[in-house]
Amino acid sequence: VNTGTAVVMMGLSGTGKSTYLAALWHAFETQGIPKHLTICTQPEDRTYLNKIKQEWLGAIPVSKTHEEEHHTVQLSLTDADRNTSLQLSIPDLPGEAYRNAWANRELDARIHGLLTVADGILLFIGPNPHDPPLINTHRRQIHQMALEASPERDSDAVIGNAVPWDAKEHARTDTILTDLLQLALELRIFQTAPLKVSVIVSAWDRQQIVNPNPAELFQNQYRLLSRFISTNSHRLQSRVFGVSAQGCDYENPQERDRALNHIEPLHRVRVVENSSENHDLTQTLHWMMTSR
Amino acid sequence: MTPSQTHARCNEAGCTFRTDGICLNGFEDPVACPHHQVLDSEVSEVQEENNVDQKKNDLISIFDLEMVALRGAMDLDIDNARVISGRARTPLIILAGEKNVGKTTILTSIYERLLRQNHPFLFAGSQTLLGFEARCHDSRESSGRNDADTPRTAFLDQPVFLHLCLEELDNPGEKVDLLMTDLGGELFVRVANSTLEAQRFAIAYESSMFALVLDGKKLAMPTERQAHADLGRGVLRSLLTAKMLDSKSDVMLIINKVDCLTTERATEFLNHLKRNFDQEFRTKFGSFEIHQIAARPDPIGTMDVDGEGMDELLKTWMRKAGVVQKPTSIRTNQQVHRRWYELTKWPTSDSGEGS
Repeated sequence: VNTGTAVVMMGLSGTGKSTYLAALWHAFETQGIPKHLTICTQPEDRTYLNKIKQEWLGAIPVSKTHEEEHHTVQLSLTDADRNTSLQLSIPDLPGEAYRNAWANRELDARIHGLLTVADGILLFIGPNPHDPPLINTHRRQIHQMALEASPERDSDAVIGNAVPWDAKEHARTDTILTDLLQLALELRIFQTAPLKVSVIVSAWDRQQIVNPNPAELFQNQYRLLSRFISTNSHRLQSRVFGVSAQGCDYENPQERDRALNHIEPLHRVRVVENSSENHDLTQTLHWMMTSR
Repeated sequence: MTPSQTHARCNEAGCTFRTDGICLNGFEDPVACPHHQVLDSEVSEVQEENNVDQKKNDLISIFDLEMVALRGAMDLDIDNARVISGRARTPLIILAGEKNVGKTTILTSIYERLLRQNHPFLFAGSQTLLGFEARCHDSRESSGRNDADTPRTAFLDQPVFLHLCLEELDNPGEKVDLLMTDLGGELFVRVANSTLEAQRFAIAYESSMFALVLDGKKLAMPTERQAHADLGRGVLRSLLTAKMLDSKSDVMLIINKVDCLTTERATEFLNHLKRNFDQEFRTKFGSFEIHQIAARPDPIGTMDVDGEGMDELLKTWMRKAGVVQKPTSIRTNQQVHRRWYELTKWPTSDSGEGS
C-alpha cells in the first residue's frame, strides 16, 4: 500500500459506495468527464472494477459487496493542475462491516490500517437516516383504545412485545456514523493535518424537496454528525455533495430507458454541491488530494 | 530525555512518561508501574521516530490480523474517565438519588435533545455513544413498548460514567468535556445509612457538582413523600459527616418529574421541602441550588415532551467548567490520583443491604 494519499470509503449498507466506485472507474478509464484527475496506471487486477462497471453501464443494480469480500482499489492518478501523481487507495467494504464495528467494537484490520494513515474519507450517507422516533401520545392512545375495546387482552399483545436492545438493529444511523468518524480521528495517531471528509449524500436524484441543498439536508437530518464535524474544524475539513451515481431509479422502466439512452453514460451521474451541478465524480476526491 | 525514557515506554492511554518522565500512576520508579515496558535495546526508538513513513508501512504490514479491537463506547470506567479528566475543562457531575428517581433518564434526555432539537449546545464528541443509544432504546418506538421507559441501572462494583463533549452556541470554540455518573440507586441508600459507605464514596469529593435527584411523583404521594425527602437529606448529611462533601462543594437539588406535582397540596409540600433543604444545606456547601425539571414529562401533559428545564440544568453544569479544579491534575497530583484509586474500595454487594 502506498501511503502517499489514502482515501477511505465509509458508509453503511445501501448508501451507494459500490455504485459510486463503478461510475468512478468508468470515468477514469474512459477519461470522459473527470476534469481534475486522470488515471496514469491501470490497476493490475481489474476483475472486480470491471464487473461492477459492466453492471453500472447496463443500468442494473451494482452487486452488493458481500460480508466476506474486501476490495481495496488502488489507483495511480495524475493531478493535471498540479502536475503531480497521486496514489489513491479506496477500500470497498460491505456496509455491514461498519455496522459491526459500531456494535461489536472491532474493525477489519486492513481498514483499521488505512484509517491510521488516511488523508481523507468519502463518507456515504442516505438522504433519510434511520431515526427511531420517541414513543408518543398517538401510540399510547391507540394502545389505550385497543385495551378498552378488548380489556381481556394482554397489554403487550396489542402492539407486540417489547424488543430488547440490539446495537446493530436499533441505533440511529447518525450516531453510528459519528462514532465511526470519531474512531477514525482517534486512529490517525501520526497525522497532524486535518482529516478531509467528503460527505456524499447518495441517491440525490430521489430528493423530493424543491431546490435541495446537500449541506442543508446534512445539517437537518444528521444533527450529531454535522455538529461534530463543525465543532472539530481544527481536526476535520468537510464538503458536502449530493451524488447520484446510478442516475435514476432502475426499477422505473421509463427512467431506466432514459438513462440508457445517454450517448455518454457519465451524463447519468449528478454531482451537486450547493447550487452547482455537474457530472464530475472526481471533484469529491480532488480537493482531498495533497501531494507530498 | 533520560536514557531510561529512551529505552522504555508506557502503554497506558494518557500517560506522558515518554515526554516528561512523569508516570501517570504516580510511581517514582516507573519500572514498578505495570504499564511500563522496556524496549528491546537493539531497537533504536530515535531512529524509528525519524522514519514516520516506515512506521506507517509497518503498521499496515503487521495487520495480518483479521480484526482489531476498538475502544469501548458503552460507558467509561474509572481509568478511562481519568484520562478524559486529565483535560483542562472537565466537570464531573454526580447524579445521586434513590432508584427510579430518573437519574439515567436525565442523561438520556440531554442526549435526545442534542439529536432532535435546536439546542443552546453543540455536540462535539462522546466516548460513550453506544451507552447513550442503549439507554435510550426503551423510550423509542423501536423498543415496541407502550410507554417510554429507561432501563434500570444495576448496582456495580465500580462507578461508570457517560461522556459528552459540548460547545456552547454563544461561546464557539470553547469545548467542555462533561463526565456524568450513572449509578444504581441502591448505592445511595447505603450511603445514607452508613458513614463508612459514605467515606467509600470518595468520588463525591472529586465532583464538580453533586446533584441529588428527588422524584416529583413520590413527592406528590402523601404515603411516600416524607420518607423520600428524608432519604435525600440522609445522603447529604452522611456525605457531610464523612467529609466527602464540605463547604467547598457545589451541590444541587434536582426535583425531577415536576409534571406530577399538579395539585395545590403537592405544590405546597414542594415549596415547604425547598425551603427546608435550603435552610439546612445552604450554609454547609460552597453553593446550593435547586432546579425543577421534567426529564421525560407525560406525553399527554402540557410540558415539552423532550424535557422541561433541561437546558438550564445543562447550562449550570457547563458553567462548572469555568471553575473546575483540575482533578484533572491527576497527572501531577498524587493525592488526587490516590483518591481516584480509592474508588476500588467501592461498596461491594456484601457490605450492606443488597441490590
